[in-house]
Amino acid sequence: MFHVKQKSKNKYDVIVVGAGHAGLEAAIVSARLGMKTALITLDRKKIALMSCNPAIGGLAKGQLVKEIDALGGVMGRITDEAGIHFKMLNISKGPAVQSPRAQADRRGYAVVAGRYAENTINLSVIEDMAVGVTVNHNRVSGVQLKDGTTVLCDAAIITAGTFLNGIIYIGMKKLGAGRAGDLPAHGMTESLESLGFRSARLKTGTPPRIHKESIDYSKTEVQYPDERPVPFSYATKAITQKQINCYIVHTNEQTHDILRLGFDRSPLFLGTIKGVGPRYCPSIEDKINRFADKPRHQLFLEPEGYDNEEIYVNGFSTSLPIDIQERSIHSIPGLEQAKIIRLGYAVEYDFFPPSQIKHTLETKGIENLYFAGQINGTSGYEEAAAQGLMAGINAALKIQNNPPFVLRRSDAYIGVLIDDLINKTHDEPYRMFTSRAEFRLTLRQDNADLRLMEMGHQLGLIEKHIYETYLKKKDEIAEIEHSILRKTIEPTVFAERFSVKSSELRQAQKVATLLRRPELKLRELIPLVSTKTFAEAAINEVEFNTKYEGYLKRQQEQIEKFKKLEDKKIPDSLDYSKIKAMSVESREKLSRIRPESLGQASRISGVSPADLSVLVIYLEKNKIMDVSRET
Amino acid sequence: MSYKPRKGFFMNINEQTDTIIAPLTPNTGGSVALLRISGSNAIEYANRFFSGTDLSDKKGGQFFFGSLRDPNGRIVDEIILSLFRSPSSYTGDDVVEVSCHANPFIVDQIIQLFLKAGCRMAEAGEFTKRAFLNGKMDLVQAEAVADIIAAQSSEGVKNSLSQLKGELSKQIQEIRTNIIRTASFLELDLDFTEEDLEIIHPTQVIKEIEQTMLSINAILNTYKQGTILSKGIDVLITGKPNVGKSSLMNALLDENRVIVSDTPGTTRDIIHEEIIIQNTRVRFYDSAGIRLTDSFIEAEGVERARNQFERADIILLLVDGSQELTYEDENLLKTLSQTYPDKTFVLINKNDLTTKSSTVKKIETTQLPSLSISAKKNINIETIKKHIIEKSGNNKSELQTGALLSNQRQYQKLKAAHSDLVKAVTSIKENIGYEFAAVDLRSAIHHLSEITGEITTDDILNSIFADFCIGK
Repeated sequence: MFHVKQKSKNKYDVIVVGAGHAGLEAAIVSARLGMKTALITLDRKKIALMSCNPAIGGLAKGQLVKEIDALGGVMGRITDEAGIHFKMLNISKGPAVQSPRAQADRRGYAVVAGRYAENTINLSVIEDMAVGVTVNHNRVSGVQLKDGTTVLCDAAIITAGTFLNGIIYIGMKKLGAGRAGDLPAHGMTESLESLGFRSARLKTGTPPRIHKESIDYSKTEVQYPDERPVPFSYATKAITQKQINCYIVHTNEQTHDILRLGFDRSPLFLGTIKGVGPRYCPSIEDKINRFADKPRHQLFLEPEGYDNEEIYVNGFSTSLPIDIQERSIHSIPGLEQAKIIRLGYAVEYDFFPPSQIKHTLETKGIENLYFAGQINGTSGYEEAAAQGLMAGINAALKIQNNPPFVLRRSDAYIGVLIDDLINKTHDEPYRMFTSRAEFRLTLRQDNADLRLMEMGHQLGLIEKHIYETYLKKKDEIAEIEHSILRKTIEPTVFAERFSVKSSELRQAQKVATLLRRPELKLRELIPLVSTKTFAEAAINEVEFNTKYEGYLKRQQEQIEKFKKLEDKKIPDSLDYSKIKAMSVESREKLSRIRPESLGQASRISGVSPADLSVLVIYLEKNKIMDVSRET
Repeated sequence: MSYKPRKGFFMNINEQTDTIIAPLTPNTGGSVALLRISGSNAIEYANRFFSGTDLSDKKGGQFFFGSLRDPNGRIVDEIILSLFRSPSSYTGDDVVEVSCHANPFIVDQIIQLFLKAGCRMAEAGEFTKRAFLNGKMDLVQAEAVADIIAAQSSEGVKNSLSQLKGELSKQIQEIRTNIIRTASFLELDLDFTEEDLEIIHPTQVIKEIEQTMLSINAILNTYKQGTILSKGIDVLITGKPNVGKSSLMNALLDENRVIVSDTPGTTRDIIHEEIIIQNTRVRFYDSAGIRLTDSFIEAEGVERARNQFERADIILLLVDGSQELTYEDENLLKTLSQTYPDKTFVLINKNDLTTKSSTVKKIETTQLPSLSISAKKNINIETIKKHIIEKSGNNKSELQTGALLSNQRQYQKLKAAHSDLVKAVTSIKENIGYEFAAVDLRSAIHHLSEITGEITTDDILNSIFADFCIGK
């Protein structure tokens, strides 16, 4: 190809631009699927660096990590190695809303991540800055580097994070940066725009870091990690490294008064920052402004690692000027002498509204070009990693001429994530919540393997021993369901064991029936009918399915309905502008997003049920017309 | 027979594959009503209730005479059933059409039978819509229907609201907003536990839901009034034989124009006459056929009586004031005062003769409202009529409030929402976790959205972000 400069380097199957959490998953999975893969990053020591809160998982995000792991991704494994404070959240609540979370050693995480990248066969890490993509007949042909050279490839995955034209704000100060201490990436946005993509601005922020020796811990509340840390990854047997504590402090009225003094120098309130920040992760100034009557706000002091002097002040994200940051921090009991090591800041960056991508994360405009992570308007490492994994898998499958790999909303949070990205209107960075998943009861962190590992196995991404453990769990579940649940327990036997906590039986009862009693646990009933032992995971799965059978059945019916509509495909060639009966807004939205199915069309924000009816009728009418034309 | 779209074109796209039912003939006049059942289960459902012919292996395009029986085997009506097999039907689905007596009472019973079997009420225009989808319509017809929809979509969501009477729609929206708020409490507890937020106690959540249930019930209760407007009032005249039921019937009908004199004595042992009182259609049923002596305790007898009592809007219990109460009288008084005290009215007949004070006393102890009359001499007959109209709540002053629910589809959605809330309360009380109650609340919101036609995206999350300080 003559438009490529002479100096062109090796040709790759897949090039991943950016080595954050999305880029790392994309690159590793692509390489594991046999693609010759390059991962372009500005600094190979900062692979999967946690630029914000050094924690992985959390509510709904923990589910994402488990799903990534069940599909062969690396995020769970790295966290298991680098985690310093594991906690299962919502432990007092049901399995459907429990989520694992872990504080990680920030440097340790990047080291382990780097090791995974370096040790992956077929994967080369290239230190450089990518400034654009080259295209041939609407198909990616290569990635341009800062020095003007082009690296050829069949597919490119852009995972640029907050680097695209990133600007950091601290008070009235403005600084071009992708991340504190890193240069922004210029050129890529412009290159993509010249290919017809639309970009917009988003904002996010981060709190100050303080020195761990400068805190008066006697005035803090200690938050202990779980005594028995539960690993994220199916590959991890146990967490053995030392676990450390986090601490809680609170702001007060004085803090808020000080913060208010800085409002006239707030880039947020002055309108200097154009991008929209997330409502679920507001800056401290936003919080005291919007909820003025709240006398205090809770802050978490989270260590960034074993040998790291930095403490992350979670809950105190701010872009107020330096003097205000210092004074307000010092007004907090326990932090009177706190030494700020790094200031909080807001960062504004380019993203590409994700209605421009397909469910495979391939862009609609350019073939074999994929977007994953914050470039699609998401926030969070887990959301990014999930997209990276899916983009990497699909890029490889496409090059190999294999059918795409798409997860549905009923399969996984990953499915909910990507589907929401494409169909919803986004005016803030998208973060996962369990309430976004309409099939939350079935999408649990403890059954990610049952939902997804078979798919991971089919793709060839699951190691043999892990897959075998999964098969064993499945067998045990089947055995409990078919044998144990059907066994009966005699009243006398029952009374001997449960007379204290459960009312007596009048006649022998099946285990399945007894399980409906909230006070009875399957693991306590099994020894009464069998001498066999089963894995806890298998027992829990059956217990949940039995205890909540009614709800799960209803959910299953909803899933069936949902699937029927997903299977009603809309031809890609449909010209929505011709459907005059439809509202202008719907026509515009539908032609932009081009839903693949009626189900997807029904989830696009702004498309009313009436417009959907029009669409259904139009489709049918069209089919009739097509038929008549043929005959 | 042409099908006139009733209310709203806002079809839930999810519901295209259900089996649906709707009357094709309007609710007034005519002697035959036609009902259509369309969908993959239409024939199976019909087969459950239709006796005479097993439809399962019959070819389409045929008519069958027979009776429809409810699950207890009781005859609902003698009907003509038309069978159409997919694709040779109006909609292209399997279709069963039922021709029955055009008595709103019977039509409603038949619809209820099929709803209980698993049908749902057809949305307006839905038969026609299915006809397109199944390729049964030509282009001209298709355009015509698309225009109807277009007219609505251009007006936007507002228009669907205008289909409800303004007041009612406001009430339903308020209820929906309340449920979203309650749901946001639950989600807050599930998705934002790490936040420093006040915990909302389950008892408060339950209180809120129960409050909402009361509001829904208030609207559901107007359904009765709303349907009375279109369907009229059913009044059952009961009492032992020869107490004067026929005379009373004649007295009530006297001077009033009889608009229907339908005596399908073969289909039900009830004589039924219809008159108009103050613009309201009132139908009188004579409970002939209930033998209330020894066989009253028989299951069959009790069941039949109960069915009649249940269906009636008002029960007139006639006793002979000139005689001592018989065992049968007392039995009826007891049953009705215990089960239907609100709709029973005791008429002490033959006040032209000497009234036994012991009889009156016994009636007074039941605390049922009573009136001394003479069917024969036409004494106090107008008072009975006045009582009927007052009791049905269908007097003019209330009619003008306007917030009446009269559409069966809306009624069903509202009822579904109510039963979701019942489930939510149960699960919160059982303490099994808010994630389950959240499923119920979502379902309730969904049902209400289907009435108001609102688009729901992220309503719950928006409510959380608006009301609570979220974010560490």
